[in-house]
Amino acid sequence: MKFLRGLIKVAIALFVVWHIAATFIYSLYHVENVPPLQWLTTQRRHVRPYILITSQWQRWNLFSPDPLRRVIEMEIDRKAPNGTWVKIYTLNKHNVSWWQRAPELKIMRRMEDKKMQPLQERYVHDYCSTHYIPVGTSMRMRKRWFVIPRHETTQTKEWWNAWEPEWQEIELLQTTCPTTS
Amino acid sequence: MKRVIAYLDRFFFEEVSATGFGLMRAAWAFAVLLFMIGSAGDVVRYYSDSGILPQDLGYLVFRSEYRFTILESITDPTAVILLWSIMMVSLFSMMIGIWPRLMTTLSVLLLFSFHERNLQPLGGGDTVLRIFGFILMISPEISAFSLARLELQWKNWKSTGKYLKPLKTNIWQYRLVVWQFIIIYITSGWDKLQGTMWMEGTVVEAAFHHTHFARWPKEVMDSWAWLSPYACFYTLMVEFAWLLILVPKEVWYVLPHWILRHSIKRWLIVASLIFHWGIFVFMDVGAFPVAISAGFIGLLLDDDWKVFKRMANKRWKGKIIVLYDGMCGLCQRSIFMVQMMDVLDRVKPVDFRDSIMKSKHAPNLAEADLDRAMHIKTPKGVYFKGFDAFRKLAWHLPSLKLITPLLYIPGVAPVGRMIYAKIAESRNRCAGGVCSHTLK
Repeated sequence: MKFLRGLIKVAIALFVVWHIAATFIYSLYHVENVPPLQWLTTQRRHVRPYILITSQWQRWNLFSPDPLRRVIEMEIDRKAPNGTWVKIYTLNKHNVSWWQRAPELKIMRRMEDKKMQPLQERYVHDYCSTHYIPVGTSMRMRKRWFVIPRHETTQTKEWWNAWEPEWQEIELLQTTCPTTS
Repeated sequence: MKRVIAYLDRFFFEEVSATGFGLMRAAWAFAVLLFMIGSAGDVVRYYSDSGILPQDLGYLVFRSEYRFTILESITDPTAVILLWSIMMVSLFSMMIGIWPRLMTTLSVLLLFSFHERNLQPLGGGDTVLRIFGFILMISPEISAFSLARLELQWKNWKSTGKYLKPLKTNIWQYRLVVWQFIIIYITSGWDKLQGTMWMEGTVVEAAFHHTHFARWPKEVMDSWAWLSPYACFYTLMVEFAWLLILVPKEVWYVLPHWILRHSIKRWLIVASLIFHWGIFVFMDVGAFPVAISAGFIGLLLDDDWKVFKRMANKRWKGKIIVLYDGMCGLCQRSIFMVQMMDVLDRVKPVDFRDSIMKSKHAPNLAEADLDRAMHIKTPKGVYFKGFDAFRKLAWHLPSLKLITPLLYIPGVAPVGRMIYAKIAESRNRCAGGVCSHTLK
């Protein structure tokens, strides 16, 4: 019994050491100039299966190396019978309830790239079905953005008061509301 | 060799209080519940095949290996809602502690499933929840502050008149939490040093003007831009300070006495709480402050609870005498609950049916009066009874402290007194005989 208890203890201790090592190795980034740590990152393949299976993947790059300065919003337009585009929805913080804001804006940031176009289209289709827009209606999605200026020193309140964002925009896609989405 | 083995045994298996992990379980479940309820209206959109991410578009988002989610086979919107509802029930049970082990395992695995189904809406706070959820799931003792434990306590108290010994656990689960905090803060700090804006002190003013995160209108954020260099410096300082937790305590004797009064760990927790809740005031960063605060609770060991108790009782002397009827089941259950909530150790229950105790603590009160309502006697010798006694007592029971001010809202007291009188009256109907309130 004592032997078994000892064996269990050894197994637990080894697991703890393994977990500590695995999470450490998997969280290492930007260590090119630190050879021992750089070597550890090459061993990531050994810990990867454990980290991913147990959903322990993590990357702590919040607001770093420099913060996100590009502010985006997505606009959904609907084609009117006269052929003009009419804006019907803007996906930004003002149009999302406060409790949905963080996830919904995150989704927007993650689907803005061109390679994510199928997801953008799906988003528009979802909008069609949840807002009962007739099947076959022409829709389009536009991205608007501006960049928060970068300074080497902090600016005054007056400077920020006077600053106005310079919006730019591009069309991401055109589609039609499908029968089912 | 023996010394090395003994050291290792202590390092991994030293017995410590399980209170922190019990509370962490409840706080974690509360945090997940809160944010999952927030996404209630989007369950079908986020997690089902008729939502914004059907499986066939998964190649854009999902990783191709080592990914497991029950939602890969459950794709129908109704079934997804059902699974989400099961998760809500299991989280609630986990929070209050019904089958804490089973419910924790179920809740954590379901959370993993929902997160792995759609990575798009996830933020840093969700990662924190997943990480601490895993540690809770594998921790051997998480049943402190649970209804399951309360039931055991009640049975033991009823049969022996004594409470169970405080729950203990092995320290290795605590070490995993400590390590996780070190990873979060140090890698985060390291990443910040790779850019230039953190060292220039301009990150916070830029972040304050990012409309996705700014909590207040631009004019308000403009007027706080001056805070940027100080907040940047504080952030880096707090994050790298977590390395200090690896320094053995014996080295700290060089520090001034006012710092030494508290452990480095407690200073780090306080500094980090100021950091995270400071961000919360100005910015919307999702679940992060709540999730990380739940994790901090897991860092609290015996010493920490003792210090909190000492600090809370710094200006407190004596005991509140609660005079209760030892012959009545309802009263016994009530006094049991009061004692369970008396974590500051300020209450002394006295059975007024015991003539010696009664003459010692309430010589001037008639037994008939005591029989009519619960009486308390404060250390200053002032008596309160019924609803007023409960209201007074509630200030000293931390778990009731938040609702106590509500009991002072005009109109609450008369209603409270009326309800109390009704309950006391029905109790009195049973006095001396067998009734539904009598202890079984």
